[in-house]
Amino acid sequence: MSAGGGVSGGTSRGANRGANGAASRASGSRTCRPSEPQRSRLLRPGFWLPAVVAVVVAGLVWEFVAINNTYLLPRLGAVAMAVITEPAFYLQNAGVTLAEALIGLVIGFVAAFVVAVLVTESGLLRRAIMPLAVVLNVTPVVAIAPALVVAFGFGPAPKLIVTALITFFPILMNLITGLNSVSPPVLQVFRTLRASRLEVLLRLRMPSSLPFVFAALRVVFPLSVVGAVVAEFSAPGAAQGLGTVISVASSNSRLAVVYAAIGCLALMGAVLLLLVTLLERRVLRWHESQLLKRE
Amino acid sequence: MASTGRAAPTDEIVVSGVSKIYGSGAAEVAALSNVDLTVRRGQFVSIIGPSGCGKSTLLRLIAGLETADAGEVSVFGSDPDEACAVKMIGFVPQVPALLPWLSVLQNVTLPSKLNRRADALRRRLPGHIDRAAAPSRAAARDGAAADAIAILETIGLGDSLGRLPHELSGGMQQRVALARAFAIHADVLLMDEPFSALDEFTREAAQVQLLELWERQRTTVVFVTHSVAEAVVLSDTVVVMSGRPGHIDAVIDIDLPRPRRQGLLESAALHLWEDRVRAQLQTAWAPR
Repeated sequence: MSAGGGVSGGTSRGANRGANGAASRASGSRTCRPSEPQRSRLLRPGFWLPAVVAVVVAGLVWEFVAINNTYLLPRLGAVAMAVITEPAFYLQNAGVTLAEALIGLVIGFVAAFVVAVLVTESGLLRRAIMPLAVVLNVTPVVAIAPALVVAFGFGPAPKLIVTALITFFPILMNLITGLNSVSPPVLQVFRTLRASRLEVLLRLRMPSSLPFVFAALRVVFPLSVVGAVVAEFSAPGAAQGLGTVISVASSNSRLAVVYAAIGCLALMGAVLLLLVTLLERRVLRWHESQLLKRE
Repeated sequence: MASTGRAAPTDEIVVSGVSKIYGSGAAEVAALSNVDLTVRRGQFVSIIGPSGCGKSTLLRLIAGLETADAGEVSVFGSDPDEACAVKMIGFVPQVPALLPWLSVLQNVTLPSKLNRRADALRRRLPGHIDRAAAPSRAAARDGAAADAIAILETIGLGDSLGRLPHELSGGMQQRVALARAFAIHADVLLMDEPFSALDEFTREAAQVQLLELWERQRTTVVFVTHSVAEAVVLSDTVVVMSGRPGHIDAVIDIDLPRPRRQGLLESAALHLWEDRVRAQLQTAWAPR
């Protein structure tokens, strides 16, 4: 699953730090005016043309398949019509799914943060909690979802729990790596000043973990949408959400509606990812990974 | 050893009979064996020796980052633990170790924001001499910022206060680390080869600026280095160490006038002292 990806992403960034030190220092003077070259790059056809061509080709292939096999794929026009005729329907269901995803993510993040701090501060708690967390990670959350629906009904509770569970582990692993990513000399300076553990946590460990937190968020934002949709699938009587729309429409063979809802989900994931990336660029303007991107 | 007359224990850093052993059993390595050293308040002392002679270990013992297996360390009458608890010790590691998300000024004022209880505590400690007493907490905070700015201006970083560490060169970063150590007005500054990663020109400039800061505060400095020229140009006393197990071979008082400025680097007197230290290092390494 994506947990592994998140962690390895984080670690490789950590490893890059040392190697990139000199490069980032050299780029120092350039960092004051980052937006100028970026904007001109967006205007160059060489930058956006390949992506546009790829999308057009994919669309043509889709249409070619859809014309001959209407039960395999709906025509793109039909999908577009489904959205255009009832925009409020999709918007409202997307809103429900998005709210479930985001609230679940916040719950998962807070839980992961608390556990990560406990685990990094105490070896005893690490030995107690980590095996449980790992077992939780290897358990397919999809398998837990129906049981949660039995326990908590068709309301929002099971959806939030599934989303929180699915996002918990990647955030936890990245946070643990991040909180431990403090360089020994800095820690020595803090120790000779006898900074308290709380001061080390707040002023050193937490800021140091931010690059890893963002690596986790980029994995976990799209994942939270997956969690919400999976939970909606498991609660077939649920009134709302794009997952419900998909399961109801597909049981009625309304493929255009199914793909319209899928399109909404994809768009939602992309927008969330974009927001995280923009936020990362602002918050981590001191970090090597951001300096390299500007070159 | 470095001192001649007897001084009060609150006026000296005393290392007596200190041994330190790493590992155990067959893998046991004696890093330091029965080391004695005395540093008087206000002295600039360099410890020089080849790698692996235990000079950094000795520094970390005084810093309270490690504990001795035998013997005692006293920092102006307190043990290193107590001294750290009241922020009497400033540590400058080999790398700048700045926080990359804080500006230059924020990095330098950071120590004054950590362990705030220490500031009140250390005024009561006999071994501490108060250089920057502030009447109230607010005044102390403003004072810390003003003081940090003054220190940064002294070493030529006055126009870089708001910049982030990655926007500075390696030499500038290391100067910020020096400023951070001086800003807490510690009773002793412990420096572990702070200039070893810098190129020669940058290093000489950094040395001059270090001396400038030190002339102003006249605090006690213990400076670990593996450069003979650096040790001689900076120090009142050079302590020559050799290894396996680490011990002190000689203590050489450098009798050059202060303040030492750039012109000194070319003077014959300096080279005379360098030769003496170098000769001492060579006898220390000659097979016995």
